[in-house]
Amino acid sequence: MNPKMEDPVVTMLDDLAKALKRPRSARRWGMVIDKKKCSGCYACTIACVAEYKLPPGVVYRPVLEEEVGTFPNVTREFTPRPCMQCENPPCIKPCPVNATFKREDGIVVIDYDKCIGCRSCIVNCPYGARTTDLGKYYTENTPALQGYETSETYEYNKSWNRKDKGASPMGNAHKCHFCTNRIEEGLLPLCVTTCLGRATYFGDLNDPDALVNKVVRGRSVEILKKELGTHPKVIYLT
Amino acid sequence: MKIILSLLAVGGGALAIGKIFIWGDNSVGYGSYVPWGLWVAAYGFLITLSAGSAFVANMYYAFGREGYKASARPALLLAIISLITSLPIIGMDLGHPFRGIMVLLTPDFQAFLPWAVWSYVLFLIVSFTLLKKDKDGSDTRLFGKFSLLLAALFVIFEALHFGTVIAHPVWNSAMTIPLFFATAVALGYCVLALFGEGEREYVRTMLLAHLLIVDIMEIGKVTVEWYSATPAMEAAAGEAFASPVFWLFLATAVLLPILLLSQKKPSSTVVKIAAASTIIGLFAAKYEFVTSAFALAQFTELPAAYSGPGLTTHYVPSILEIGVTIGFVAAGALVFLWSIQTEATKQSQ
Repeated sequence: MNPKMEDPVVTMLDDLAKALKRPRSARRWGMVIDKKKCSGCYACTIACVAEYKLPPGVVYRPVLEEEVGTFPNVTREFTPRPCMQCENPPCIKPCPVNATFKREDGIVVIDYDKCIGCRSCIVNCPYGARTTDLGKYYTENTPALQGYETSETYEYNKSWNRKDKGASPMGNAHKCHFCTNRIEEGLLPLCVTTCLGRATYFGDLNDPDALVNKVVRGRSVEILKKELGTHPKVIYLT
Repeated sequence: MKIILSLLAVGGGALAIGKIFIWGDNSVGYGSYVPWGLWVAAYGFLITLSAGSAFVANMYYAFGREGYKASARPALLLAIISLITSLPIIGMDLGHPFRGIMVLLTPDFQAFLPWAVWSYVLFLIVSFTLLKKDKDGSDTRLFGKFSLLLAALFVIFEALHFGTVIAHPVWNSAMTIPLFFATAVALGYCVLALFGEGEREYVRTMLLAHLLIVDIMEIGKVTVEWYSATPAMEAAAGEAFASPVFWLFLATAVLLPILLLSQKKPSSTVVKIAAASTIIGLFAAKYEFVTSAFALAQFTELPAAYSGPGLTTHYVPSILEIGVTIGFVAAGALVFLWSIQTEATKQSQ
């Protein structure tokens, strides 16, 4: 097949398989989001919520919607905002119990069993990428809690459920983790595969031949809150 | 008085148990875009009050200043009780209250909070020893200096916990440390005014001078935010002006005490009223300091992007938060009153 015709998801899966052959410390996962392609369909947001059975008030990848320009030349611009997986993450240092840390491959994760729920990491994230699980259910105050709210979910290589009031992951900080479980199985993050416009690219930033690096070449790039020196590994094409 | 405080304490305790075992974070006003609210403000205030009280107490214990002698013991008791009261309040704020002890047992010293918690523990050990030494009539100078140093350290760590937050320009300033320090010292002079029997004129002057410093810093902070073109700063000022708590600060920590303390030779009662008013006002200032920083989400569009509980920048403390705070502070006040009265009875005997 002509490489130009290949679905970017297929290319990224190949890149991912290649990256997984390298040791974890040699990988540096990153994401590129093409704002010109994003149509604001929210498929990524919903897929993520469904995959991780996120409770009310917890969201990993909202899509910011902004009206830009001056009438009559106005457009709507969409900015999906996952965790930026910063090289220099301001959320890690303030954690008093080292419950949040950066893995060798650069993904910032949370140890739900360690997290005390002080929300210092949430306060310190300049992207608002962390949310807190207040222990609420969508079907609260109805005759019965629906099964999807209490059934098992899989994050950080472990099964979790929200059956027991007050037990983790309730009371914890939550965040996007680039679907760590999926990428270790050779699958792309769910927001990448569900993106209707193929606006989200994912791969190893250390691999110059990976699609995630190729798509950036020759394009103008936006880095959110660049001035803070957090060095996000999520960049936007404008 | 004791009956009312006891009832409030029991009510607050019941609410706290309800929060831990039944309602969880389901019943609080804070969330993801305003992650810290009344409990963090109350904790911060009580820590600062503790440090200020320790300052007054140790002017006598560490340096032998006679003018502080009468207030030294009650001030040290207040420093201890205020600190102990703050801990269950911040414990309630945790998503996992029973894991709070892990800050002490498995700390990550990259963060400032474990440093603060370790300072609290050492401060309590040193200060209890100091109380005993004072009772025995032993030399208190060395332990007094340690107690003062540890109190200063936990105020610094608390200030750094806020001051290093790059996500909130309202806090991310070197001025946060002097502001917390000045507040602690001003609160210390309020304690001296309330419990001291020393020279009234000296107490009045010191309280007024330190209150002016704090007021200049607090009003200066809001003015800088107001003039700023940074959206988060502007929003913080807007939030403050719209909040009755800010006006409470202006009335009770600026206008009323300055008016009272500026009188020619105010009576002891007037100075005490000014001190009590200042304590209320500086609590209001701490509340504003904490909550106004969250007036604007990290991206203006964020609250509209996804809706749900806690995904709002509008914060109002819940009945539970208010009840628990009042209950715990009442419990602290009750223990303090009981301690003071027990000491007085023993002395009279």
